Amino acid sequence: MALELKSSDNKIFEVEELVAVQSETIKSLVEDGCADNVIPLPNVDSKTLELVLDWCKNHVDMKLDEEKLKEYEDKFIEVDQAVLYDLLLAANYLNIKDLLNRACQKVADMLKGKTPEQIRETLNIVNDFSPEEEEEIRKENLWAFEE
Amino acid sequence: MGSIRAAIDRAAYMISSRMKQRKEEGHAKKTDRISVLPDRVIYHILLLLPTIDVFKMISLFKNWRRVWASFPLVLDFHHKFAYGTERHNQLKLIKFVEYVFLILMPRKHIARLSTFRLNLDYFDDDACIHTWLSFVAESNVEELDLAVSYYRLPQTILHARSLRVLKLAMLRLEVKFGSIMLPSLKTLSMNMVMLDDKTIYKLISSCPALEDLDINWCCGLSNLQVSNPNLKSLQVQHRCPLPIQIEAMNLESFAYKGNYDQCKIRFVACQALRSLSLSETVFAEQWLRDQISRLPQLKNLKARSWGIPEKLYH
Repeated sequence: MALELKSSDNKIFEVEELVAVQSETIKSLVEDGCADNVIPLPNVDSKTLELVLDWCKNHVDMKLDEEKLKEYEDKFIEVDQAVLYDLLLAANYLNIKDLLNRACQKVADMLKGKTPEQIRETLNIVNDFSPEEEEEIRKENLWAFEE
Repeated sequence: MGSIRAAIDRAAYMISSRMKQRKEEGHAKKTDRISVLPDRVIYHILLLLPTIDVFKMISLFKNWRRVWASFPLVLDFHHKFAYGTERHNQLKLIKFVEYVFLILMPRKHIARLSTFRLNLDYFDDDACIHTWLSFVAESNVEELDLAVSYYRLPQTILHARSLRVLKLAMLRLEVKFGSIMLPSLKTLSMNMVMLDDKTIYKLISSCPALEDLDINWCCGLSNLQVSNPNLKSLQVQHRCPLPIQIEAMNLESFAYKGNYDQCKIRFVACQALRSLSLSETVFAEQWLRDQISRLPQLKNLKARSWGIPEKLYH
């Protein structure tokens, strides 16, 4: 049985139900009988949805081949930061446990063992603590930064 | 005239769209997406980071600090013996010890502690670990994961009423006198733990809520008696022939792996057993038939006597 999913930029994707229900969100829609028409996904753009559906399809196809699946997953998650965040948000919104886990693991690996300065550089971030707040936190965590 | 107009329009369009693009890029550079991730995702990432990295992240992002403070506290401490000069290792060790104390002492942390993991490669200061565990015992810790070579586990831990999961590796456990009280313990896993028959019997029988039990390569055992009314799943792996007696009326699954040696298992009362796996061990076919006849619920059987061609029964 096929389902129709509509991305935020109005692109329609036709997907096998078996593939789509890896998303707990879509699964509950199907179970509640709300999946007869096109399912709108206003929080996922077509570029990301295409990637997500590729993940889901391969997880159905390679279900019995653990090694092949791991190889696929490792290759899949090698994306740049912007795409990684899009995948994270989509996996969270669509509630796809294994994708969410893998994407979170990738972010964790990016952050492990780095100094705060390195983290700021890697992520290109803005400091949102006031100088007083930052001083207090630094004192509290000083030991954590002395490697 | 028309074509000049068109050219101007075209140029104006190109300039404005390029400006828009640059504005968007500049804007993208300033907005960091990691600090604004949904709470659930932030918490998930925090769970995958070693404790020391968790503390770095929460000192960088307000949002992350808020999420971290509102969820139960998970502490994961690892210290490995690294190759290097002795002085370097000593310094690293001192820093590590300081850091664990700094995190464990604040009452606000103890109040939120739900999971505590300690993995020490080479550490001979038992008193230090006793102190840390005394802090942990004060909390409502639900999961405790200890892997410390040769460390003798104090009995205070065996009175942690809130404990649901207990994983022990490589340490020593001895319960001579006094009681064990682990009323909430559901999962118990012991890997390469040194303990004797009396201790393990007492431990298993003192956990009324125990459902999952793993006993892997533990030394000091000569006769393993597993007796627990609620136990659902049991796994035993051992390096030498070990007489095992199982009395567990709710046991559903049992897996045993020997060391290519004699199987000495006796099922006393396991009427609920559905799944049985015996590997790398030697037994007589008649023995297996006898066991099966006493296990009316048996559905999955994977039993291959070492040295004899595989036979699967259904």
